[in-house]
Amino acid sequence: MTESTKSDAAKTSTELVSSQGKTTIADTVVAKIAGMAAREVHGVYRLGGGTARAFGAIRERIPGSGGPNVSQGVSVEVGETQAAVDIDVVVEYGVAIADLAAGIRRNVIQSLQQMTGLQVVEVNIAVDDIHLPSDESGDDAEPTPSRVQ
Amino acid sequence: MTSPGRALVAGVDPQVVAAAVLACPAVVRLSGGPFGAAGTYLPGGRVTGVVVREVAGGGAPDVAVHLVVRAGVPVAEAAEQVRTALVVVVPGSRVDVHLEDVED
Repeated sequence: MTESTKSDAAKTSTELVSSQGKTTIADTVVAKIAGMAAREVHGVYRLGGGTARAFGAIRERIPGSGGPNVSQGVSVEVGETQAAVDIDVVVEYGVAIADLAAGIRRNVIQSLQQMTGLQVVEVNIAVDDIHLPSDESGDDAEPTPSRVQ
Repeated sequence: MTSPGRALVAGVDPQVVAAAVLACPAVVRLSGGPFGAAGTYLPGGRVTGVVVREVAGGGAPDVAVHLVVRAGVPVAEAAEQVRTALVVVVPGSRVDVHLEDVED
């Protein structure tokens, strides 16, 4: 595993920057891939800190905004061959947070290296909130039926 | 991206560890521990009761299994069965066996 990672990293620097030209990857691309990878891990309730979630909630209600923002709560810094990622997450109640964070980090690094060829130097995870089963009756509940017919 | 069945942690597939532990005659099932939190968190699912942690310096990861043993089997014997089963699956790893409960 470590050997293959090393050889991948060594290979990537030539994959993206070659003598015939270089490949650039936009921040958005990296942020979306990292967001999808973090969301896939079991135990992640959703991404984004308080403000990002509040803006996200408004954004989703605007027609033509393109629905939920995949890269919500993800900020990235991308160089020529390397990337650094910061992720804000809300976790489910009842998970081992440290182990979950390790799982997120692992999946984000793996996905980014496979899909972009960038070497991921760090993935910082901020656990912003914890989702309790009783929260279900809150903002995520089914919209209350209209009072008038 | 990885499917839940093939996700590796430091070269170890937690699902394979789980299968090896469940194959031991003394083991009834794996357990998530007191809060149900013990497990390996993978894309698409969680392997409850098997914790595989990468070691800082690389190399063989640490493994901890949380399980429920069959009533009447001496605890030491159950732990021994699990260790023996895991020697092949995770060679060189430190294996911690946590017995969470006893069941018939």
